[in-house]
Amino acid sequence: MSESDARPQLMSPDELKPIVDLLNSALAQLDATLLGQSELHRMVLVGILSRGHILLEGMPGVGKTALIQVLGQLLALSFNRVQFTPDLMPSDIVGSPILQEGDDGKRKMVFEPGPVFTNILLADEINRASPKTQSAMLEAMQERRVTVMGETRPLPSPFFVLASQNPIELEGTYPLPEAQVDRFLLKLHVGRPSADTLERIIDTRRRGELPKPTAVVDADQLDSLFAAMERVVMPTPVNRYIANFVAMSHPQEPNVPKVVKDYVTYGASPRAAIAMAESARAVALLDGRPTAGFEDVKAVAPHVLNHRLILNYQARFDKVSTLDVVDQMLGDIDETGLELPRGVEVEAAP
Amino acid sequence: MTNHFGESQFGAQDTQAQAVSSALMADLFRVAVLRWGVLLSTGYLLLWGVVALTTRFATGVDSARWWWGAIGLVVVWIAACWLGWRERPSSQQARAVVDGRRKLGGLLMAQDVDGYDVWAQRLSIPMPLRVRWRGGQTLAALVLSAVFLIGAVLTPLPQADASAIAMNVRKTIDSLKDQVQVLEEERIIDEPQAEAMRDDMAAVAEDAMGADPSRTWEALDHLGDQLDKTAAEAADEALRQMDDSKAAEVLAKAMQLGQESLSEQQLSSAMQALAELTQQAVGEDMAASLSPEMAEALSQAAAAGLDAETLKKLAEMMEGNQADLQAMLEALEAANLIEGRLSDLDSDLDPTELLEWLECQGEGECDAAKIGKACKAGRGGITRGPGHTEMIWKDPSSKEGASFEPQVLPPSRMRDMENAKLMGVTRAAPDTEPAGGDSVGGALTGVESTGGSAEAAVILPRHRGAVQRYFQRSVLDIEDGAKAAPTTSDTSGIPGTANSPEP
Repeated sequence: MSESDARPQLMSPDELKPIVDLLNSALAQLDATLLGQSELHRMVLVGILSRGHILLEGMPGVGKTALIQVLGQLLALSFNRVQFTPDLMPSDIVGSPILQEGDDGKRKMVFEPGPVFTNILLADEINRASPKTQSAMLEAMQERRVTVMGETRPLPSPFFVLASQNPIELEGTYPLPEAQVDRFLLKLHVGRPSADTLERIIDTRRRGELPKPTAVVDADQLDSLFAAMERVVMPTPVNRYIANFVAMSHPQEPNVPKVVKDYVTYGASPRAAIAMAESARAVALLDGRPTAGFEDVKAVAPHVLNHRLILNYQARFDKVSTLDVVDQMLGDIDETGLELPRGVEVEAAP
Repeated sequence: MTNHFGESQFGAQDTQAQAVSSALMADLFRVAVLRWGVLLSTGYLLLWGVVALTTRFATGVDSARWWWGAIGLVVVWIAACWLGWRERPSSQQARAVVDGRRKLGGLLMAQDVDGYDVWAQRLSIPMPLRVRWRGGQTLAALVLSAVFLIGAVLTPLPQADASAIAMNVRKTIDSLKDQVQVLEEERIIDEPQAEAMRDDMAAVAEDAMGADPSRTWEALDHLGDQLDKTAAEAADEALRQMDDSKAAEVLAKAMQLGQESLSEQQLSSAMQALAELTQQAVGEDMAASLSPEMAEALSQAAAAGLDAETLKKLAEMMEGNQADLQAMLEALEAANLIEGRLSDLDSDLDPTELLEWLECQGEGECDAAKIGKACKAGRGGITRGPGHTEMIWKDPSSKEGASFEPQVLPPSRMRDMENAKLMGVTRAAPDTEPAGGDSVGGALTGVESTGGSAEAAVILPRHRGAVQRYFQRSVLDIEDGAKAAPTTSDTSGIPGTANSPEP
């Protein structure tokens, strides 16, 4: 939808129903493949619908790579995997020109695309690559194109980077620079499964082999999902809430919550506000609504701001995490923007 | 999260959602008005109380008019309505609140978007929201400010009232006016004088303010003193006239008795004295007080004399004059203008004694002045009246043999009484002084007891004989019978007295 369109129009229930069915089917496929991670799968689909990059963080063996592999199979898109290592060079990712002899016998430099030229790029253990190599991903992730030898080449559409990193074994790793972290739409924490889930995994996963998805989302269906995303309406109060929330993440702003003033050094960027709005739209679409509400924003806020707020040393001393700060902000900031006087509350009637 | 494709949750009307948001707007407006009203009222009541208190202290304005300040509360609540109207949420905000609290997923907020109608039919019915104001502290402050205001307006301020409210001297003024009335009725003061005094009293009563009470009381005391002085002067004159009337009456009666026995010269001198006494008794205007014939007769009395009938009438007239004067004195005393002056009236003189004295006067000794003095009975003192014995003021008496040697008296027992302390009051017999106290009286005077009570004091051997003789004497008296009994009462058993019988 371009800005020149006159008025937004809500999708009708009939238009929305096949979209929701398709998304529910995809979710069911993911849930059947990776057991006990329903909320994670939901957020991954939110990232896909928002056309954003996702950073998965979790302990080894919890299924980060498997999730991305299954997602690649499910979406029926081209899929490449790069295992990031300290000696990985940028040309190993974006590609490089090589000397080739043509049919006419002449030799010329021909660009050999790297693994980044794909729809889904699995950047496994991205924090093990050197900063130079990590920086090679910046242009690809933000502008979805690469420039080699002065020549810019667009990446296939859609283009997703699904990166994983290990929060332990930090020796020999290079923490991602803030500029690159900010390019990830969501940072999702992959938790360990419960005992019941583990029991089911042991029963159904012999030698760790994953079942193949029975149904796939082809390119047309994916386009229809993206088109539906364009029609999800963001009401003005929700829009204002997102803007207010992101603004309130900066301790320099007036009337910020105490937790921000105490623990936050740098707040979220405007890119975070965009990411939050897009993610909220995706959550609304997953719920089968043509409009995004406050609860959609609240659902995605922890994942969007998780890697964007930079806390101070006091937070580290007090063992306050970014998620704690975001949770506190969600409780302190009124979503409606209605500044009620002290002592006045609006509550549900019994 | 509501699943909007669950068929059981759809079917509600959009108007109900609108009603919920409209009700929320109204509730928020009401709460805002109430909150602002309570806040502004609290401030206004405090201000009202402070102004009332300060002004009452400063000027002492009557407290009833302060209740007009209640009109300001109307203005306060109008302002509260205006502020509440400004604070009221917009319809979009109200819809956002309902949408957010009831988790409607933004559908209620998308009311202006095309295609909303289809979704409105499927919108779940939002439960109404309740606006709650926890204004306990604010309401408590309102109550406190109201209590402060009531206290500020109703609490009596003695200082302010005393300075502001006129003194109530009506009772004193009425009493003074009654005294003026008595003086006027007794013709001691004339009407213009009485009116002038009443005007002065009215002026004092009007100017009597609590701010300067001493000034008022000084003025009233001055008026009272003026009345007392006037009444005292009138009483003195009345007493003098009564003396003269009484003397004239006695002389008239004596002359009436001595018509035959007195000589011509004695009668002539007595007539002249009677005329002078009568004139002094009735005052200068004798013709107004007596009948013209009586006045004429008195003026010619020294030459022509008065017959017995005229003398009798004159005596009766003098009696009546005394009665009038006594009535005036009683009226003045009843009005508290004089006190104890009626006791100054002289006692009556017997006309017979006066006649005897007149008859004894020789030819050359009898004059009117001497007779006039003799007619007035004295009081026996030296301050007023002639007295029966003439006082001679010459040859001052010598002090020889009359002066006393100065002698230092022993300390009085009253000095000890000054330092006495009241330990209690009882109707029982007093306890005796414990050990160490002096025994008092009789043979034991001056004997110090060394222990126990006074009754148990040791009697020294040289006193034992006296005690023994006392009891032996009592035994002898009993044996002697009635002959010895009457003479022993005044000896009191004290050894060595003249009446004590020797053993």
